[in-house]
Amino acid sequence: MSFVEIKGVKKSYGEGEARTTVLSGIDLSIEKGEFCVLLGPSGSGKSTLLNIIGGIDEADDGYVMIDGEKTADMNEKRLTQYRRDHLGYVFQLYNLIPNLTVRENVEVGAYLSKKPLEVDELLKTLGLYEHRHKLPTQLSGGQQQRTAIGRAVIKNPDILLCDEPTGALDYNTSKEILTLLERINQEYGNTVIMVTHNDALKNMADRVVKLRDGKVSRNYLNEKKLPVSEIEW
Amino acid sequence: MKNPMNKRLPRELKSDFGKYLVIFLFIVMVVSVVSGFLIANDGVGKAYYRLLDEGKVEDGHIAFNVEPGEEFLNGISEKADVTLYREPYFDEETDGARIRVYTLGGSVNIPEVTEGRLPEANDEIVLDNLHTTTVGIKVGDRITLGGKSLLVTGLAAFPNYSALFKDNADLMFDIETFGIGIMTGDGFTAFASDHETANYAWVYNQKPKTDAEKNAASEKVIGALREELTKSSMDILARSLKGEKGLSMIEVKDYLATFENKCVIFAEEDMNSDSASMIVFLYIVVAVLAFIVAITTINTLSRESSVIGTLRASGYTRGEMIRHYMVLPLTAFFTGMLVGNVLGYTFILDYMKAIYDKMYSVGKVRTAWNANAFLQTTLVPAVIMIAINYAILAWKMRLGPLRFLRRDISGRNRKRAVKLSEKIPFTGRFRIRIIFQNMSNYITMAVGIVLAGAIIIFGLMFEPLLNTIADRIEETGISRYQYILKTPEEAESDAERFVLSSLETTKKGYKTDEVSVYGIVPGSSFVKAEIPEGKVLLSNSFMDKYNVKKGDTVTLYDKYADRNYTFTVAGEYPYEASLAVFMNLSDSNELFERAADYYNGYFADRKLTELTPSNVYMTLDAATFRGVADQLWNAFADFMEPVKWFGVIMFVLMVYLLAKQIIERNQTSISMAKILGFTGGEIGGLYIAATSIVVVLSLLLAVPLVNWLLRLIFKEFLYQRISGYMPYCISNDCYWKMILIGLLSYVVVVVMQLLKIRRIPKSDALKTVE
Repeated sequence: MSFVEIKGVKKSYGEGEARTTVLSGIDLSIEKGEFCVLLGPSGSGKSTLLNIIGGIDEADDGYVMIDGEKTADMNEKRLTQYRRDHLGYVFQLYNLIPNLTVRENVEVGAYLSKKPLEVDELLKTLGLYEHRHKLPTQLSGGQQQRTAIGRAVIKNPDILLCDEPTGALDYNTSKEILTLLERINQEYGNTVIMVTHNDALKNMADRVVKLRDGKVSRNYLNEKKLPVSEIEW
Repeated sequence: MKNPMNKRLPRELKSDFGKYLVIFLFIVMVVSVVSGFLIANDGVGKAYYRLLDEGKVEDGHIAFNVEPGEEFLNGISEKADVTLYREPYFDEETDGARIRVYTLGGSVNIPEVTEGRLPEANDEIVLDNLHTTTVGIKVGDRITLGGKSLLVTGLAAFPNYSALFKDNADLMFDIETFGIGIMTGDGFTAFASDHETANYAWVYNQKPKTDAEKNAASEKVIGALREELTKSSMDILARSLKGEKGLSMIEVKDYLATFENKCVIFAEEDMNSDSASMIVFLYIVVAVLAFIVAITTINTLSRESSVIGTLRASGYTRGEMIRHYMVLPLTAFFTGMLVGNVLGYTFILDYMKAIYDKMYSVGKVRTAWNANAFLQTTLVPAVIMIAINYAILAWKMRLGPLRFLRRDISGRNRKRAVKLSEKIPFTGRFRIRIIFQNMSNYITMAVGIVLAGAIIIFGLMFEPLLNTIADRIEETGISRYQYILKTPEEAESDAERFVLSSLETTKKGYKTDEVSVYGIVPGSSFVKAEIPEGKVLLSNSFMDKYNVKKGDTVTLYDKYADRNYTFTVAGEYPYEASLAVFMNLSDSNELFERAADYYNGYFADRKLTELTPSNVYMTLDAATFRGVADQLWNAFADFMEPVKWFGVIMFVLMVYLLAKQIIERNQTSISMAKILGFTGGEIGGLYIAATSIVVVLSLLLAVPLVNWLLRLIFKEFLYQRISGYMPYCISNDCYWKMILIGLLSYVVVVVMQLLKIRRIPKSDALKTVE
């Protein structure tokens, strides 16, 4: 059994004539430690699938099983505990707490974990150590996203869920962030599931899953994985 | 590891200091007043009970027109199982006030000297500390009483006069024109007053405990009294038939059980009802404040929605988030409670004690920390605050992380914007949309404005109301003078006879009222109304207070005869000096089994100097009635000014807090409007105008609502709890003043909001950071 098992996941929004099917039966397996990229155009359902994996949205049908445990069987309290213990989230918008410093924002993540990483070490890894006393408003977009990644990674989560983490960043900063995610995956061995619409990023993945109209159109292991530094778009 | 989110709390406090300061001030204001009041109330209450206990207050008293004799008194003592103590008094005038003087050395109603010493010589007197403080008499002063000079050797509190009611039927005590004194036995005798009353205090041999037992015990006394009166009347009749001369019928001039005696029980009842009203008021204000705080917190949730979504998605629990967002408002609240209690125990306590000192005389008051006051002013409000905020936050936090991430937490699943006619100018539609967007803020604001308006009106209404009462009493006066006689006596022909009897109301749920039952001569030139035979007219005061209509029947009780009388109401007669029934003189004498031509009073428009002064039991004139209004205002004035300012401050704080929320919620839009080229004034015109519309509409809405609310309080609460009558009328000036005060207070808020808008930087709209 794979680390993440997704079977027959369906999801629709709205009612009656306005009902829109977003996911119409997703089957997917992701192994522990894999860097999985979920690719697809806007509206293909990739963010919805990520949210269902993360337990912040519910499937209408089917299930998500992580490390042998079905998320649908968990009640609200258990689900929160599951997110707390196993998941790290990175969004396109950084959603940092504006009146906490960089270090404190990262500590917000550390607080949730029983086995957090060392904060200053991680800040050095993230290239944020010099900026640790700054507030988010004093940072560039890339530094803010690195802080957000730091907040997610400090917990040392089993799975790092990234929803368009470079969507609001320029080319160079995006590369910087992706390199960081690649490094975290390699150094800490977390499973990374990253949603993006940038097709070039499939090259950095161990597993590539393409979604189209709510279905998996392709799911394959990337034999020719490239370091981010060699990927151009 | 401590929750790192806590580190943002001091920064949050600093950045939103105004909001937390308002919460703090609001609660300091309410708690200090209420706790100060409750502690003073508790101290005064304890002193009151100590005075009753140590001063051995009577269980009741009976006053007679003549000394009734030992056999008569023994008869009552034995039949009612009471001990009677002779407590004679006389009433004499001094500088426009009436002083009732008792003798020293009795076994009951022992005064507590609060300053100076007890009288020792014949020309020495001790006076009560209420009247003396009011009129400025000090120990060592000499007063002229009934033409005789007396030295004031001390001030005292009297257990049977903790409140100075001249008459038990009075609506309010009278500390200006009524006082109590005590002289030595010899001094009392040497004074030789013409106005001495044979008064006897009774004390039960077996103390009744419950209200029912007290009632039964009092009934037993009055039963014994009736028996002795009948026996005495029969005896006197028999003796006069035998030709014996100079015999006087024994008449009861006053009979009052202590549990009905306002001089004794008013302080207790007033303190209890004041205390209950204060606590209810505190809880209402705290509940309104709790909603305001919850709304401000919800606005913070909206502002930080995606951060909350991220944290929830990362595994922060609902409880952690709720607690985090409750910490600061609750800190402001609890700090306010602490400071409020400290102020309540110090400055405010002194102020409240001073107010009580002007109302009641209970001896030395000692105040101490009071667990009950602490529970009522701190713990219960804290529970209300936490419960309301927790419930609202928990309700908001029930939404999943995704809703927060999508900033979709309004709860209103509005798919489309409300359609507004394009005939409405753009600015008008903009303002309407702001009102829609902030509906919960505005509803809370409207409720708060009505509440603050009611408090302001309450603080404003009594002075004009009492003037109106005095005017209406004067306007509806039957004659310039009413003389009540001890025995019938001829007067000049311009005076008109009447017969006056006193009965009591029997309506359940109301305090017992004394009712003056007038028997009027046919074709009266003073009571200008046709009274149908066998029926009665009721004073409009009676009809209004007891909600009586023409054609109804009313039942009144004669406590001396233990008999009920039922009257059919033929209509209303305008008279507001007391609760009164008007019937034909012949009907009255027949009903009360008196001689057909009996009378005991005169209406007159001049002073009837021809009457024997010692035969005049009481004279009522315009000054007497205006005195009632003055007494009432004396009792209320000290309370009302702070009440009014309390309402104003509450208004400003609340409107400021909610208006601030609206500006903050729209900070990005305001910033964008600045970038687009709108001036600060134009932006204020959009955002502040919307709030102004709501404030003005709420103030206007407050007029009928406050009127309805206060009328309800009068009719359903006050009328049942006070004896006597106070018409419900609020001068229109009060409403104008309330609106004006509200608008002026709002101007202060507007200035603060304009400054706030001016300070919003244009860069806010360009930030991507949450």
